[in-house]
Amino acid sequence: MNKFLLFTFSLFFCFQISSAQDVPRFSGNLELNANFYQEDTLIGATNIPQYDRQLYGADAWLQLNYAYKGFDVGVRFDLFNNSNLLNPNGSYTAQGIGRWYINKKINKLGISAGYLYDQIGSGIIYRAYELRPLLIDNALYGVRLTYDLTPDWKIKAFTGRQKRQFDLYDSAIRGANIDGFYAKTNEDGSFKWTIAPGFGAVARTLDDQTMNAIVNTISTYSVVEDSIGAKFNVYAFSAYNTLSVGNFSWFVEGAYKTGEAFFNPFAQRTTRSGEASPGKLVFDDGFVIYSSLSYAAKGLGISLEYKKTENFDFRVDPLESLNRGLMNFLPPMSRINTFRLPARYTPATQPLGEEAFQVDIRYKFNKKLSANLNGSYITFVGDRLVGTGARKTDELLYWEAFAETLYKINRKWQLKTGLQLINYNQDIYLSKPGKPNVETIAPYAEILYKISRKKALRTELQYMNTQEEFGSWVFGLVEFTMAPHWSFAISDMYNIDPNEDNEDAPRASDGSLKKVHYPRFDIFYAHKANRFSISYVKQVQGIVCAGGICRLEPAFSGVKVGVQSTF
Amino acid sequence: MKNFQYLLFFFLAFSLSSCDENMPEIPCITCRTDVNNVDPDAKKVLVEKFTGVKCTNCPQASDLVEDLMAIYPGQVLEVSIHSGFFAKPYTESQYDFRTDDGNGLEQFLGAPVGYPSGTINRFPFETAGVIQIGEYNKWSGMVATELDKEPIINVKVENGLNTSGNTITSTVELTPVEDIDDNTNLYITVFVTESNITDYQLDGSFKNPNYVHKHVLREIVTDIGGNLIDRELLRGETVELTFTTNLSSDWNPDEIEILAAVHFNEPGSKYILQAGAGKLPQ
Repeated sequence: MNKFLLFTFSLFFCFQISSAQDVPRFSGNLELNANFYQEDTLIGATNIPQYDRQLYGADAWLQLNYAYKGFDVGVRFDLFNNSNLLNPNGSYTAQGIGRWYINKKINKLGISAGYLYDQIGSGIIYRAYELRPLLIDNALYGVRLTYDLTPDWKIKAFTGRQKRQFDLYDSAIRGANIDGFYAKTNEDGSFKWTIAPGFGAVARTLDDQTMNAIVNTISTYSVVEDSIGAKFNVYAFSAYNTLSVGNFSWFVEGAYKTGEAFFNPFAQRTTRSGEASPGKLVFDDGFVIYSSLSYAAKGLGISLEYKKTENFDFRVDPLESLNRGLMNFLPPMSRINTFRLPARYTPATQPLGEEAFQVDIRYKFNKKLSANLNGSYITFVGDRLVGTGARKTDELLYWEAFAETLYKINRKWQLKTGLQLINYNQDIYLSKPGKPNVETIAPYAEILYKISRKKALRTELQYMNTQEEFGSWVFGLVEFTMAPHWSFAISDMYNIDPNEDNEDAPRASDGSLKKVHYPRFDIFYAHKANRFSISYVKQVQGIVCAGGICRLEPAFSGVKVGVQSTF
Repeated sequence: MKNFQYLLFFFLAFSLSSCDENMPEIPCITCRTDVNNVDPDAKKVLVEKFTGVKCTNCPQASDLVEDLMAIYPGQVLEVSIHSGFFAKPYTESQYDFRTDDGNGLEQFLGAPVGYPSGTINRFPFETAGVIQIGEYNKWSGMVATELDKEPIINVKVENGLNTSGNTITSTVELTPVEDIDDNTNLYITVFVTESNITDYQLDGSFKNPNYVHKHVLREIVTDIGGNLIDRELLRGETVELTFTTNLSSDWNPDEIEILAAVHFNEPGSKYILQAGAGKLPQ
């Protein structure tokens, strides 16, 4: 592998010497995060190796790209030292070439090889991507061909295996799709309407070892009803289109997956002793329908979204769980909140069954005042047994009502206010069965004061009222920016009214609840394309989500150092 | 028109790959007729399951292991280690199943991603060096894979109590099936487990006060990483090792089982070659 890379780079340097008119481009970026751990038993930052004995952990990604005469070549070095990204309760140490790729366009034919990121349509049937905070990196290690049928129509095909840290899954993946564009023009040449249709297909073939594991699992099922079939090959198809007419844009995608054996944690199986036990492999096909309709005119933007999902847990290994082995990406159906408290409860996409609606309205009244309204409503599709035998059907997973205004008082002052109400099913999302839904009311305000052309002061004040989970919170932040280089921030998240029933709540030695502060101090320095940060952090345990993919994060106590550079 | 032809070709090309396949045959394990005639020297699999009374999905993992023990009687052994965040007992709990030995074993084998988690003969099925398997739905296949392997050593455990009834003496007989190289360092770990303890357990959303806990780790008699077997191991020649431990007054001697596992203890491998178990004399 190293010899191959050395040869490839040598080849390009030879080209450089022989031909002076094409200028080679060399670029890259670095992301480095280092954590220094400080045990804090009160907030639960303890009992993992980093706090017990390692005291230090780091993650780093260094990407180098080289482009010359139509060739694009890249390599990325990944490093994990005592990292808890892979396992929040454990320690992961490994390093090596995390990615390499070669791209070359020959007339209409594009050739790519290596670790490839790509997607079909919106990603419902196939998406290979990287999400570092959750250590998702499911790049396809393989070959991809693209062909420009016409300037507006493109066909693509790929085959390979999915990346798993510095290894590969054994199952084989192949896929193809065609994307197009057609515009109906007016006499003056402007677009009357346009469509961008596409069709894609993906197939996964299990390797023998994975199939043996599935067969062995099914063979242990003790009753005929629990015994299901298994197939090596599963196929997923999707058709999608974007129609743009005037101020309207309408995207719709429908996807279908053929039958396969997959794990359903809600399905009941009968044990050998005759009792019901949740969680078993089931065999079924699946579908997703997703649509987004938007309207944009001067000052006004409206967006309506709908999604329905059934049995679309699509993995390279059906026995994997959480964020492992994912082959696709289902669009999230809730707003991405940026303020700390409103972002605390984010619903994770449910691939087994979900029906969701979302509406978003933005309006700019004038140069000074604008507003945003958002609502979402998500229910589970199907039924599941709960407690001692009760059955819940199509239960509520999440709803959110959100409103925000931005008022530019004058050139120096700007005020943003907002209010969020949510209902969040912690039974499903936090795996806390039997717990009632979390209902919150969270008002917030942000004031930005531009002291001068280069100095600004930003203040946030947030409050979340809830009787569930950790209870109610108050959050305050003050950030002072001295452009172009420095930024300083101090914040505190305070559990102002803890919930007595929360078993995770910090308690004094006598068992009484403690109202705990979670402070944070940040210093940021930016110089050209380099950004440095150092932060002292006390962070409560919670859910980290990115694009509907979530996982539980333990509490953090210590210092974080970050470096980001682009060159 | 040309574009349509390309599209049609594309559809046809891909649809051809959707031909029917030969689905694998699912063996009928319940049809086995030899379940009562298990060879005592057959390969054993030790499942070291990490669990906790507040772990909502852990009963399902326990159900699975119980099923595997019924399907492969005498060949699947279990140690249930209560450790980590979810093992802290309820205020109403009668017992605290956590032990220093259990916490030490978790550190020795590596932290689970979540609970339940388990090792299957401590074999790294998926990722080099990682032996904790967090997806319990994978355990069936892994157990079957391990049971297909031929043992290279047999392990037999016999136990006795002193006249006072407060000291357990375990005699572990190791009989290699083949010569084992002198340079191969093998270790033995001896576990004390107790079954059929009724106490609280979170099961789904139900806090069950009458849950029957099985194979609960009470003590590791040897070092956490095992004791070095500093004896020559020749094919067919039985080596006897003796271990003693106190029988705690908190334990029910009728439910105590002593398990012994012979394994490696190297940076790259803690693999369990064979295991054996025996109950106290009734």
